[in-house]
Amino acid sequence: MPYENLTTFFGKPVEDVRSGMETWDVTRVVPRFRIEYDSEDSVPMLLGDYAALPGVEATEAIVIGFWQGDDSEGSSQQVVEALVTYSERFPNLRALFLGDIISEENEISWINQSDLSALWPAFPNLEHMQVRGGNDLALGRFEAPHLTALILESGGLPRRAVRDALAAGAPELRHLELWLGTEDYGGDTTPDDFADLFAGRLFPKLETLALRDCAYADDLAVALAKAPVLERITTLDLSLGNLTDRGAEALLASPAVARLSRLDLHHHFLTDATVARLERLGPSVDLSDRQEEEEYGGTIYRSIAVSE
Amino acid sequence: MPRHSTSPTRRVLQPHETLVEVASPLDRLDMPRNKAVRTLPDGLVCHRILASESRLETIGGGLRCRELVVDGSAVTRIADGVRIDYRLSARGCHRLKALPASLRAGIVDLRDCLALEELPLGLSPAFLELQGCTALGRLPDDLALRGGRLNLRDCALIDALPERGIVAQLDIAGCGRIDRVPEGFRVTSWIDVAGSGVTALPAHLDGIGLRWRGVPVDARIAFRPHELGIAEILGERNAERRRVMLERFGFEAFMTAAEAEELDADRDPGGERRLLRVVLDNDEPLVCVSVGCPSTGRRYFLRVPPTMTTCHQAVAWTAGFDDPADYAPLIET
Repeated sequence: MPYENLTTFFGKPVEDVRSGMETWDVTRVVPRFRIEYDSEDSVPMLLGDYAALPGVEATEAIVIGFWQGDDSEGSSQQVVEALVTYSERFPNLRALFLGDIISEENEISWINQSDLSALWPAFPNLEHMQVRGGNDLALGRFEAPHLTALILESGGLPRRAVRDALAAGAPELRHLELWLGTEDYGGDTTPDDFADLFAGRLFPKLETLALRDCAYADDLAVALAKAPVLERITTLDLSLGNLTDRGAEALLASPAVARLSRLDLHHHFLTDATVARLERLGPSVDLSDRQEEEEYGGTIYRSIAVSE
Repeated sequence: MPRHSTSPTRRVLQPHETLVEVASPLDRLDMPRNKAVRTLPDGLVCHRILASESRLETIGGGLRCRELVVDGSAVTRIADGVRIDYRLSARGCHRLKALPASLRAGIVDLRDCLALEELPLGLSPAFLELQGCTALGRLPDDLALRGGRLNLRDCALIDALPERGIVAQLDIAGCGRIDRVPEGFRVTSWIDVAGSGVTALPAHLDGIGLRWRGVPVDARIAFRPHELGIAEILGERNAERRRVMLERFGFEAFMTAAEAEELDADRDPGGERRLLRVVLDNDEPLVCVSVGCPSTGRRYFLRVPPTMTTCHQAVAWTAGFDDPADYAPLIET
């Protein structure tokens, strides 16, 4: 996971930009910039080609795909620098996906990100920001006055990136989605890192809180069950993690959880009895994709959905 | 400059191959480590020129390109009239002295260009990397940065930032003569202030991140390290950050306050020497040797590897001797 490249983004079909193109239907198609393993091109050069086309000032969404080529260590830094350098050609950009890279191209935990802080002032109208890969990811301190969705997908999200996200000046944020991942791949957060968020002190317009792919899903559920933030949101998503009955008991005991409109717990380790109780709780609940524990040498392992 | 729509053209030069004739425009010219070519043909138009570690000396002749990479090359001069639209990378060009006026590249990377004394007028990049340009005396008055990064790390001669401009990231570590960030110069994400002349965060930068040679720190660590507590330093989970806290607090003050264990003590011409240890969680122990300078009488605290057991061994290590038996100074100054 993830196994498929995007076919649509920000409501429009996605197509690859090729070198040498002379036109682009900006109003109909979202451009994706990516290269092959053996490509002589680079994503910055493709961005340069696109930036030189007539009419691209109207571009509202950009997808960045596989950028490493044959340099498996290659980070997103040069791509970020190219986006910033050409940003004057994209004054209307509202949505950016940095890392539409699937498992076949590069495993999520091998994607090297970089310091993305220069993107924020370069694209002040961003509403949707989506990033895949947590290695070396930093968002920096930033103001994003129009940002409504922030999605960070990883197999291990570093604490620093989480702190940056939670410190964001993003008063319009409605959808916060963090794939926390495992310590084995650099995910070093704990429930304490979310104290301000859970206390309801951040993001006054938040509707969806998605803390997915969490290797400490039970502890997170316990910390969340009594959290004031639940009074303000409508959807809680703890999917892709290793939730067991212990975490589910805390959710079941929470009046605020019962009042949510949607609860997504798919990919879990819950028993039938607990599943049945959650289905009666109130919210529309996704309890699909039950996982089986595995035992090696007397230790029980419960894997999250996305790690390597 | 639209690229060839039908057949992309790429020319690859081997290390000893000369460039006699070239059909311009080219998509790409690859000539890394080329020893034979000193200059590029007049009127060359090429999207990407990759000539790292080459013997190119002068780049002129009205060259037009999007990207020019000459890292570690022999380039001394990029002449007026050369047009680079997107990126110039000339890292470690130790002889580079002259750049063209009105260089419009959005990314200009001149790290470790040791001979570079001045920059041309008309620069307006988004990313300007000048780290290690130790001969660079000042920034051009009309420098207009467009939102990316200004990296001046260890540009010790530069004494002022531009009055205007915007960057996400500003690195002035090691710039001891820069003591202010002008009101009109905006920094949106972080500023690295280690060893700079900036001693407090100006009001207009309130809320941005602080770094100390790459390590994220807070204002107390950066500007008021004496306010740090011993328990706070010992309790810091991040080893990098704790290293900076220790360095800022001062090893000597820390050793005293943390009631360090004395591993060894003796005397040398500088006076008393002590080897001290404090155990740290999740890290190797902090071991320091305290010595006196025989000339000035000043006390110095030097961190040494935790395997050291005697003052003599530790001092020998600081002088580069792994075997203390080899270290027998005849005279110390």
